[in-house]
Amino acid sequence: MISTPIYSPGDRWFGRINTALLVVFALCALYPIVYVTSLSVSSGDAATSGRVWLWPVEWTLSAHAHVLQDKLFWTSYANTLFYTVVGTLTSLALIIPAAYALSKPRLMGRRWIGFFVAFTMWFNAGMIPFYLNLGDLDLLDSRWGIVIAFAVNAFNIILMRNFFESVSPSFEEAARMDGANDFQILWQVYIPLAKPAIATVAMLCAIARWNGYFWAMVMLRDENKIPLQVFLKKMIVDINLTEEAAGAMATQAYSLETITGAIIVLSMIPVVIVYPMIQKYFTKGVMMGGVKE
Amino acid sequence: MAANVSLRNVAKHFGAVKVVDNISLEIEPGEFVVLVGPSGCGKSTTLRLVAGLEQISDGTISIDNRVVNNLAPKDRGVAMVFQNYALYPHLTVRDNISFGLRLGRMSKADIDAEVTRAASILELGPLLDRRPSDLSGGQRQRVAMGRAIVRNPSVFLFDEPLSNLDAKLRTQMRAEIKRLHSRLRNTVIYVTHDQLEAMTLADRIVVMRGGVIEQMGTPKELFDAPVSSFVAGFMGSPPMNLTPCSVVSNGDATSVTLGGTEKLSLPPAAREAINGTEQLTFGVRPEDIRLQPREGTQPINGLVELVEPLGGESLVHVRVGDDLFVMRAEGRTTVESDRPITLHLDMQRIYLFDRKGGRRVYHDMEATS
Repeated sequence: MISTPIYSPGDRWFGRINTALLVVFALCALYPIVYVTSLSVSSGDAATSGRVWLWPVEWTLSAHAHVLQDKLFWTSYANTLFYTVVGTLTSLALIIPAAYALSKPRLMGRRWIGFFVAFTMWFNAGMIPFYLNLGDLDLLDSRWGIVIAFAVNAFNIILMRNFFESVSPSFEEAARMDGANDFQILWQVYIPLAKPAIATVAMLCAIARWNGYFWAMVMLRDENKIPLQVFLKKMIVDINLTEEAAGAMATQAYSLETITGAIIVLSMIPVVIVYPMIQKYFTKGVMMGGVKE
Repeated sequence: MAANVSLRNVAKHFGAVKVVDNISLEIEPGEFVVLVGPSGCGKSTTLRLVAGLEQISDGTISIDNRVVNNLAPKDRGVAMVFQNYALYPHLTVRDNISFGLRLGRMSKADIDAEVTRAASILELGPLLDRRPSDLSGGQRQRVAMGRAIVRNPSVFLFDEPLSNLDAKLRTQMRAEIKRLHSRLRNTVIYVTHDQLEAMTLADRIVVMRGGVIEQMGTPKELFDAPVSSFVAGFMGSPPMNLTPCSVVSNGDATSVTLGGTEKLSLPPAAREAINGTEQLTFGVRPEDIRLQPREGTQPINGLVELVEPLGGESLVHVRVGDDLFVMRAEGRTTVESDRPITLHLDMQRIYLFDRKGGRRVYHDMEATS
């Protein structure tokens, strides 16, 4: 709370309102996580009857156990990890050199190339031509199709380019005097300097891959290739459609709601572990790319 | 080993803008040459052309009698120290110094030996495992010099290396660079806008203005015999007093009027040199103005506007009509502000410049030799 005397009463009220609003926003972000976690460890009966609203009711791990026993859950989990790790590394491998090249005034046609990259942020061919294009390239129903089709994102290139542009040209010139070529300058000078920006872009790519649902659902037919989000949807649909399963649940301690909650909680775990470790880079990186010092 | 550097009719254009305009310069092996001039005069661009960081538009640059116009910076046998140090912040001092050697695939033992040699020359031994962020400005500058030394260049290029340091550290580092040059005897091209650095470091100074060389010579030559009012006003601290004056001829006697009221008779040689030119700039160095008359001085009257005590000496600012003169007085001077004062100008050491082109038309060279 801001309370030092150098602030006017208006400033103090502004601070109080800001704090109150931020608390509300934080609760809005936190509540779904708490709710879904509580749901996943509550009994099926409590969840179905709507008695769970904050804390777990009739504590049980049966929904988690049910999900963890499903072989397809582990397959989809492995798929999601593959799409996230390989997809993010592929994205970085393409985005970083592209951004570095675009940050250099000596690149021939730089303004036009930059324009065409930025153009894709606002306009694209549309969903159906994109799908047909993937089909023509034989990328449908393929793990590599998911990796390649979404490897490059214009926003991330621009974010990275802005960071590279903010690096003093003296570093490049000093390295050039030392005998470094462009690849050595990028690898040994710019990339270490750009860790915050790279962490930011990696995080944005990884989140997009981890949460990727729509195109994975559209592109993949083989259920051994589907990611976690598609598996979640599939499980919900299957449970709804299969009376037998619904009947089975009547005798179990879990329900459709608790299973949904369990899958969401299990899918959140890697993000919850990784995000705090790179959060400092994430916030710093967004600012560094956006503001040219 | 030191190399000679030759610039012949070198030009650099950025579009229609001529940043360096047809300059020629011969630098001897082991010579310490300082390029000096105001911002935008083309001195840093000239240095970058020698380094190979900019492509020349016209002319020839040779290093060690070899034309280097199309050679990459690493192949020119030069090393550069940058204004902002350009130390890689993610590397230790050791890795910063050895960066170029590692790129050149030198053996680890040789790299260690080179780093140790540079560290001992620059007294960097205890700092080798620190990162640049843990170093002071002077230490960073020494690391930047270490990075240059290990490359064993024929020519050192310094781009305003002391401009980011405070005054005390600048003096220390200036002496250190001078010592380094005495020890290594490499050819040095050094860019600065600080005339004091130029005077203290250089074997030869090149004064640049508007992309061309205004004058080059030893520090003494530039100080005593500036070819133009620009050079006269640039070299020296405080700089030469320069004021427009009108010439009055009366029979055989010719005098100039300063500040609209004060008349000074010109020596006979000056009379001949100005040869009827009426629009002149009168110049006299602060060192050549005295509080007491001496042989060859002439008096002018003014009002003390400001006294700046510097410890060992004081700078006295005197208003003479519309003009302001600065003179050096002793540190314990009794001169006070807002008091009338008579200044005695050494007429043997005055300068007269053509007001239109700024070229020097008169100075008694024997008086300053």
